[in-house]
Amino acid sequence: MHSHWSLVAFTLLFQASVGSIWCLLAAHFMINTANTGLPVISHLTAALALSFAGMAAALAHLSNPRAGLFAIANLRHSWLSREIFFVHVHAGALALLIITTPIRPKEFDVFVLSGASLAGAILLYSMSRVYQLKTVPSWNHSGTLLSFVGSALVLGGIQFALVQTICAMTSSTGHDAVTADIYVQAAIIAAVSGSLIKMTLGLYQRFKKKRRPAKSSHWPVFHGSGVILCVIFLLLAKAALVELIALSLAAIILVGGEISHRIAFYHSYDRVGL
Amino acid sequence: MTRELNKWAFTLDAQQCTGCKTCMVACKDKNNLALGLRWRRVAEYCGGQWMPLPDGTFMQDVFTYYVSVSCNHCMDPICTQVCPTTAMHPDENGIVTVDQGKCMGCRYCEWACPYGAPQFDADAGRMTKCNFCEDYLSEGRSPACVSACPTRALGFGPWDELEKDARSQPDIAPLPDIKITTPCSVLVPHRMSRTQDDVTGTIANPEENKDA
Repeated sequence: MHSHWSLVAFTLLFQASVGSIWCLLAAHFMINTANTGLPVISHLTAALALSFAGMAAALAHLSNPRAGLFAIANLRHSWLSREIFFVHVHAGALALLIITTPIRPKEFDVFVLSGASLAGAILLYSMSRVYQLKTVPSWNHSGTLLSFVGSALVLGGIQFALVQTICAMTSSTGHDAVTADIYVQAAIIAAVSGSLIKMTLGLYQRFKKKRRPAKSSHWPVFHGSGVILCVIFLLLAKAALVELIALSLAAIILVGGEISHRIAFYHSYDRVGL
Repeated sequence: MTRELNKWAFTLDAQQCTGCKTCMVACKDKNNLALGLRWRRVAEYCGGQWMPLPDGTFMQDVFTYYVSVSCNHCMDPICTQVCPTTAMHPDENGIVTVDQGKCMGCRYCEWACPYGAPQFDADAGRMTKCNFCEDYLSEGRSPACVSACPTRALGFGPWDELEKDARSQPDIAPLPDIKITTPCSVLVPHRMSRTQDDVTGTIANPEENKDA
């Protein structure tokens, strides 16, 4: 199988973008106040930056990017075509939200954001279906979708928490610090939930390997360590500098875990036949 | 041999195939394929072992046979289903070809095809594959691999006639389940052929069959 670094970057960056938008929408519904302590534009900009970086990685994967203009020509049959379509819908919705901020009556447009979240969810589903090929049994199961959703929660949650924490530390606008903490804690819970999904999948795959040899699997060490650090962060949530250090360490470990897991995923490619 | 084509198909009589790989060489030569590209490949499938008998003697069940494979121009080609740009498409004669202007080089068809038919030309940055020597067919000639086969193990003909061949048994190892893509090819098995789900044998020349 050819080099997969660009695909590792593309999938992880878009999953982080989708996950952070889910966290933003969940934060809005969780505390229905007038955006207290929620730097919406910062979150949207971070998510859009991840999307653009993901698109650049996807273009790097193509040998002939100019023919990418035809990439949505097979929406009827190809999940890759659908994935490419929803990549653009998701990024387009984020760009629309940011561009129209000055002319919108409210900073938080729940309808467009819901659209972006939905496009993100469909994107993740399409992304998993791209890999669920009937000729590649090692990918052709529901664990692929679960793994991608887990990655979105881990990366999106940790990114949301980092952006929120950094904005809260640097902001002088007098945001409600208590409410901001609730957002961060909710995002951390999302990241921990995603980690638990990935750990469960990792353990299941190792158990399955004993019965039927799989080409590759991984120990969920990274995710376990990340979860421990996230819990420490939640316990120390009152000491600003310590919590930022704990959060940053958790982020490094979780992102490292995601990268190693995704590389293992691509290495597990094993096609039937010749 | 020229006629208004419906669908062409290759035939392989594995009993006649000696594994000489002349078909591979002829294909590479005719299409001027770069290093690593093999539109036609010959898989050597072998297995078996020596087994001790109660009287102290040994007997063996060793087997080897060859399967020459190129694109099967399937009835239900997975490469055309997954291709996002429709660059991979069946033409009016049912021959699955790559529109080089539309191919963006994502290599997704390479992942999906269980026969390894679509192959990536790194220099051109596009996918390539067997085109059934359409230029030869239009001149009334046989495909290069068929012409070159010294034992006449390889053949070709119109699929609507060939598919009635009762000797055809394409479900043999190391080929994939035919239900995946419904290949348009006739394969007369070798007498030692193992069934498609066989796990006792291996491909002895994987370096000649793996993706380029």
